[in-house]
Amino acid sequence: MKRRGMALLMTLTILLVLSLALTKSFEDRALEQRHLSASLAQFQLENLARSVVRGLIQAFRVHGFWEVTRSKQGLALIPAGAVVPLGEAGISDISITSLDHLFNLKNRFKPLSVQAKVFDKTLTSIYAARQTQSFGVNPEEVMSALNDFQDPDSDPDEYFPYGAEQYPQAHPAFKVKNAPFDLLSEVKVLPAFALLGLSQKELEDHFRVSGPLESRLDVNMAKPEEIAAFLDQWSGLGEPYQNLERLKAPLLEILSQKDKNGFQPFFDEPFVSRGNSVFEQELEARGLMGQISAAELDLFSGVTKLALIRFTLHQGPRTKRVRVLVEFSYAIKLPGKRLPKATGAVIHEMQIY
Amino acid sequence: MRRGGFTLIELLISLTLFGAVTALLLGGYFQFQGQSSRMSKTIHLRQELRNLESLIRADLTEAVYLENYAKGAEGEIRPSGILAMDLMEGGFNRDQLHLQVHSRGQFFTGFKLAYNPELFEVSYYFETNPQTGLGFYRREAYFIDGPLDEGGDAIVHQLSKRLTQMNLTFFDDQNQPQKDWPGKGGLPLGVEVELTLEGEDGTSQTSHFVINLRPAMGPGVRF
Repeated sequence: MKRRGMALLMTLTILLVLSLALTKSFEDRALEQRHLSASLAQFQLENLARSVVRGLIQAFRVHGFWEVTRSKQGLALIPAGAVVPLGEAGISDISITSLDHLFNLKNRFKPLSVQAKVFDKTLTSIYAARQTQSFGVNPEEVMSALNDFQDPDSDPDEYFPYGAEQYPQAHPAFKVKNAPFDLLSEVKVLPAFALLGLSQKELEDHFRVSGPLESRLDVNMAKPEEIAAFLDQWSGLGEPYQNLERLKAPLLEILSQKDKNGFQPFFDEPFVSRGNSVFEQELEARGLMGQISAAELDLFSGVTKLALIRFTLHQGPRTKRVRVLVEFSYAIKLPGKRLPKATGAVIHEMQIY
Repeated sequence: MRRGGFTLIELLISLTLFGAVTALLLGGYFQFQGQSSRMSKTIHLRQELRNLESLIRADLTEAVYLENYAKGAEGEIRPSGILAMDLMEGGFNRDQLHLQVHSRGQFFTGFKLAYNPELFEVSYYFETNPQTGLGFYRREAYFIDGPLDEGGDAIVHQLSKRLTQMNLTFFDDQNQPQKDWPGKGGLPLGVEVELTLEGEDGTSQTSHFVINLRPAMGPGVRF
C-alpha cells in the first residue's frame, strides 16, 4: 500500500506543477484582457466626450444657452453629483460657466490705463480674499513681462521697461513667445507672474486669454458673489467708469435679484437690445438711467460669449474629465424676442484627461 | 513459507508503466511549458507594445495647434501642433514625431506642480547608440524654447529597445494620406500609427491604430 501511495504522491506532485503553470498562464491572459478592455474603454470614453460636447452645442443652438444652462427645464434638472446614464456610460458634474467677466491677459498694458488699473485691482482682490499680503510683488513688473512676452519685437517693453526679453536665467530657461497667448497656463512660465504665487484656482477664477479683450458681465449667468467682485473691480477707475463706485449698491441690488424660480439672476430681455431690457427698465424706474455712462452700461450683457464646459464621464471603474472652452456668436435679436440664440461656436480648447 | 512482495516481472511491468506514464506526463509538461514560455514572451511583447501605444496615443490626443505661436513675429511661420518626418533606416520605417501637447508633463520636475505650464514639446524618435544599440526615445521639453524638433531643457527617456519600426500616416483635410506632416495649417484629421516590436527570439508583434484628432471636434473647430 505504501508503494501505491508513493505513485499517487508523485502523480499528484506532477499535477500540482502543471496546475501552477496553468494558473500563471491564466494570470497573464487575464492581465492581457484587462489591458485590452482598458484601452477600448478609454477610446470609447474619448469618443463619447466629443459627442457630448457636440450635443451640448447643438442644444444651445436649438434651445438657447440660458435655457439649457440655467432654466428649470435644463441642466438644473440634474442633481449635483448624480451620475446620469448615457448608453453604457454615465455623465456627472456638468458645469457650464461664463468666462466673459474675467480679465483677458492678452491686453496690452499701458501706464494708468483702465486695463492696468483693473489688473492691479484684480490682484488686490485676490490677496484680500485670502487675507495674505503679497510679498514684494510689483504689478508693473508683471505687466511688463506680459507685454514683453507677447509683443512682436525683441526690445524691452516701451511702457514698463522692466527686465529683458530673454529669460535664460529661469529654470527651465525659455525665450519669450513674441506672439499672443494661446493657453492660459502659458502665463505660468513668466517668472514675474509666477512670483505672484497664484494657485491654479485663483488663476482660472480671475483670468483668461481667449475670447474678446473686453470684460463683460453676463448677468444671467453670474452668481451674486461674481457680480459683487466685478463691480468692485470696475469701480473707482475714473473716466469713463466714474459713476460705478457711487452706483455700486443699487446696481448690486438690481443685478442680484432672483427670478421667481429662485435661480441665478435672470433678466428676460438681453442687454443687446437697448431700451428694451429689464435691466434698463429697472435703472429707469430708480432714476439711475441718466447717471450711468454708455461705457458702464456696456459692461453688462445678457448673453455669454465665452463659456467653460466641464463634465465627467464614467464607464465601469474608469472616468474621464472633460474641459472645453467655447466661444459663441449670436445673431441680432429680433425685437420682442427673448434672449438671442447662439448661431455659431468656436472651440478654443478641449481637454480630455 | 512464501514471503510477501513483488516478483521481478511485476516490478518490471510496474516500472515500465510508471516510466511510460511519467514520460507522457513530463513530455506534456515540457510541451506545455514551452508553449507557456512562448505565450508569455508574446504577451510581454504585446504589453510593451500596448504601453508604447497608450503613451503615444495620450500625447497625440492632447496635441494642440497653437495658432498664435505658429503665426510668430514679423511674418515668421513656426511649426506647431504636429511635425513629423517620414524616415527609413536599413529598410525599416523609423519615422520621427514632434508635437506640442496640452497636458501636464509626464516627467516635469521644473517648478512646483502649481506652476506646471501644461504645455510641452514631446518627441518620439529612434537613435542608435554604439554601446546600447537601437533605442526608441521620448523627449519632453518645456515648449517655449525654440524650434519644435530641437533641444532646450529636455527630459529624455528610452522607452524601448525592442521597437524596430514606427510608421506614421497622416490624413489631411481632404482625407488624403500623407507620410510627413509639416506642423503648419493645423492638426491633421487623423493619424495612423504602426508599431513593430521584435523579441529576442525573433518573434515580432505589430500594433496598428488610428486616432481621430479632429473628427469634426476639438480645438479650432467651428460650428
